Amino acid sequence: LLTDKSGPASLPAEDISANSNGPKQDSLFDDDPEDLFAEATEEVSLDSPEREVLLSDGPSPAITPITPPTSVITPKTCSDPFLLTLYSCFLKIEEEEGGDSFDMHISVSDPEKVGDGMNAYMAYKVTTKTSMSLFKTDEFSVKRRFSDFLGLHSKLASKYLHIGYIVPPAPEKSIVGMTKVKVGKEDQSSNEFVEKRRSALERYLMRTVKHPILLKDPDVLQFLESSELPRAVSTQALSSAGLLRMVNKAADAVNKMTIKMNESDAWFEEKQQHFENLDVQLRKLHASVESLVCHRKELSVNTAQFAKSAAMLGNSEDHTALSRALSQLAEVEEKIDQLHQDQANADFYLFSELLGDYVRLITAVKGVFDHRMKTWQKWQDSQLLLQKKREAEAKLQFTNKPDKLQQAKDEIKELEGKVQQGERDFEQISKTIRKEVSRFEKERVKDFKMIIIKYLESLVQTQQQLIKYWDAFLPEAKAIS
Amino acid sequence: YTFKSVVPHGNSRDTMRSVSVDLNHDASLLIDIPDALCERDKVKFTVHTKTTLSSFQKPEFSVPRQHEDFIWLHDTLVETEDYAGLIIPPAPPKPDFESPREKMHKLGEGEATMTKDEYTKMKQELEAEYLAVFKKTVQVHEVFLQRLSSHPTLSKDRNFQIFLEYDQDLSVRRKNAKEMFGGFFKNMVKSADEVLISGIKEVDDFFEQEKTFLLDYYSKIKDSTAKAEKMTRAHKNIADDYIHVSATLNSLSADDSTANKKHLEKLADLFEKLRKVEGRVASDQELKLTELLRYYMRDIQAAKDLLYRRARALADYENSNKALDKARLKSKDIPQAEEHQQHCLQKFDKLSESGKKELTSFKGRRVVAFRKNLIEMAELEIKHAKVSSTLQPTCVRLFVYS
Repeated sequence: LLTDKSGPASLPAEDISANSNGPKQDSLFDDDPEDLFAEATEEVSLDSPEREVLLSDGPSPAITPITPPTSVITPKTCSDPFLLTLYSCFLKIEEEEGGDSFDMHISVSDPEKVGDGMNAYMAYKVTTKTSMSLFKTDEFSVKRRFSDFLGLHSKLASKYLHIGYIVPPAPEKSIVGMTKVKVGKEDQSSNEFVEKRRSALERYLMRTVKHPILLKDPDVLQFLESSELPRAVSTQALSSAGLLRMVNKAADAVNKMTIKMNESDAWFEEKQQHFENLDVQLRKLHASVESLVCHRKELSVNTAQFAKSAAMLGNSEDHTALSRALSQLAEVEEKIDQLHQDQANADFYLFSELLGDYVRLITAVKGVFDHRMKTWQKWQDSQLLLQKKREAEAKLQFTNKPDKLQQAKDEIKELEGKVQQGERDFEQISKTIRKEVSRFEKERVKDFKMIIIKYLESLVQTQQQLIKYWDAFLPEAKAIS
Repeated sequence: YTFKSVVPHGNSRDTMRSVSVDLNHDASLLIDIPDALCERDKVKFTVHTKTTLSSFQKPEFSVPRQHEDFIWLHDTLVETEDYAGLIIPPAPPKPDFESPREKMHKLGEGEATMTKDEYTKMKQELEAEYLAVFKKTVQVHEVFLQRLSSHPTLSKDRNFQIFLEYDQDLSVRRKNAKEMFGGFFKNMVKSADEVLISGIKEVDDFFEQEKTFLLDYYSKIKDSTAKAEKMTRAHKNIADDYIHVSATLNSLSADDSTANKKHLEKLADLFEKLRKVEGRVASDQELKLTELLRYYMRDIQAAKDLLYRRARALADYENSNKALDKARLKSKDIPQAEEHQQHCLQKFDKLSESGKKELTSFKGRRVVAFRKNLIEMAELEIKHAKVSSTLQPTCVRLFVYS
């Protein structure tokens, strides 16, 4: 369970006007009193007294082990003292940061093929577990298909993006992947595709409901609760690829603007640059990790092939003890190939997908900044128009056309309203974006921290298993005589 | 890319020596390759000999030799009739820098897309690979000579002595040898090999078993060698990926002004350490497993060659019998036919006797070498996994408490 304690209410009020160099928002983060470890700089060794506190059987409530939603390696019979410490640390963090803990868990499961041929589709079970009063029951499930998710995203995007909310993008469409599934190929690659999509849909929903505004949106509630959902049509421009196209178009429009926006608010300039850099680096990292996944899978396959070859060699060997040792070697390598496969999954589902999600999320963030530009542009345009109308009105004063004069005055009244609205909209979106970015950055740090810890666990487990396997093999090798 | 280096590798001798155990212990003839020079992929080995034998002019001396000289020596041994009943140690393979050279070229092309740190580390990895290829080739040439020096018969070979002692360029001799044998004999041997061995009617149980075993074992070990090589390559690829991941994490950390900064730095550091471990896993696996399999694959080929020669001798003997029968029928040239038949029989018997000894001791050698290498490989894998498994907890602790 990932804790969420942020939300507009928890942020201090401040004067954020378009013309002020607003306060640096980053400091909000470091001073957050709820982040227990923000100030901790001392390294705590495993033997330190603090550790005793964490491990004490004292008055802490009953601890149940965490089963993280996207875990592919779970510690079954974990006897490792270090890992146990780790888990108890986790739980302490959860408790202590609690109070306002995010008590909602959505799982996407049980993919089921419905129909046949090219009209077939995958139906997923979406289960929500929560004690929030927002919902009628504690636990409920519905069946949804991929286009339903896309439909939800398109509705949220159209409602919230243009006023500055970072709406989490939906998972990517994949024609190749889906065709394989439709055609009925029950092989490993189509199974992997379904699992990849299932996991992505789950993460998408969790990110969406963790957003305090989006959670309360009626479309979201309907998506989670109602058994029947109207088919989403024209999901074409709704995918994140479509969003990216929109963003790029907006960026082009900005470049073509005759009046360049005077970015007197350094915060926005700095943040935009920050997200640009982040985008480049995350894409690069994502590419490297994808390469790692690929090579680890290769290693797994090669190890399996070697295992088979070693087994054949063992059969062929006429020296009895050596033959047995070679067969044992083959067995060890077979187990190791499974280890590599599991590690590749962890590489992918924990590390690679996290990066992919954030690359897409940052596209959404960039989109929100662009909407602010557009809002400013709209405001400026109405101001320009107002000025023109005023000049025209002034000229009309000297002519004898009372009707036209009145019309001009009416138009000016209307435009003044528009200008005021434009200014309010711009202020509002700027304010919203500041909050959203702050929330986003917090989530990002937490997300990364959590996932990286899980990923490191997976690495540790792999290494420990390796030690076990080779330890078991060693006496066999020594037995050759 | 030119790689110039004189590398004394005395202390790393043991790594390759374990492939073939118990060499170079006889003080009467000690051989080693204490250093080598690599220039434009051409390697010049310094062959150093220490001997108490009177057949040599000096008690200690060194000569420069090229790979082609080793091949010349090997080929003359193979083509010496007297050694037909021996397993001739396999010729060392040609030094092959193709793989690191190609990678270095690709690296140069991709330099612009990497950070300076990344490029430096990749270059380091490649230079290490170059060095590893270099060390391997030196060792494999050394082992070849040491096999010869520890063999009771081969160590006394005249050409072997010339190889060790002759302080001039051997290229003249090499050319002569090529002209004499034309190389066609070797090619013929290779192609007729399998057919003749499997086709011959075996009279001796021992050789029948050996034949079946060696033919089958050869194809299996050849396959295992190839598969082990692929495993090692995958490990190396992962090590390279870790370099890129570490470098990008460092870039992210540099740009980050949040609490994430420290996390990213530590993670980058972890991946850097992991890639070193992964690199060592790859090279240890290569040395203990892939090289072991590759060496014995070649050795088994040499054993098969022995079987071939014996099969040839048997065929010759059978033909001489037929010729003798024919001569008796025609009452013509009987003494010559009888003499020829006797000669063939003697040759065949000698080959069989010698072959049996060689093949038996070969098996013993093989088992000992496998045992040693498999133990060492398992121990190294455990060592590396232990190192790795302590790296991550340290990093995690820093994450949790920072």
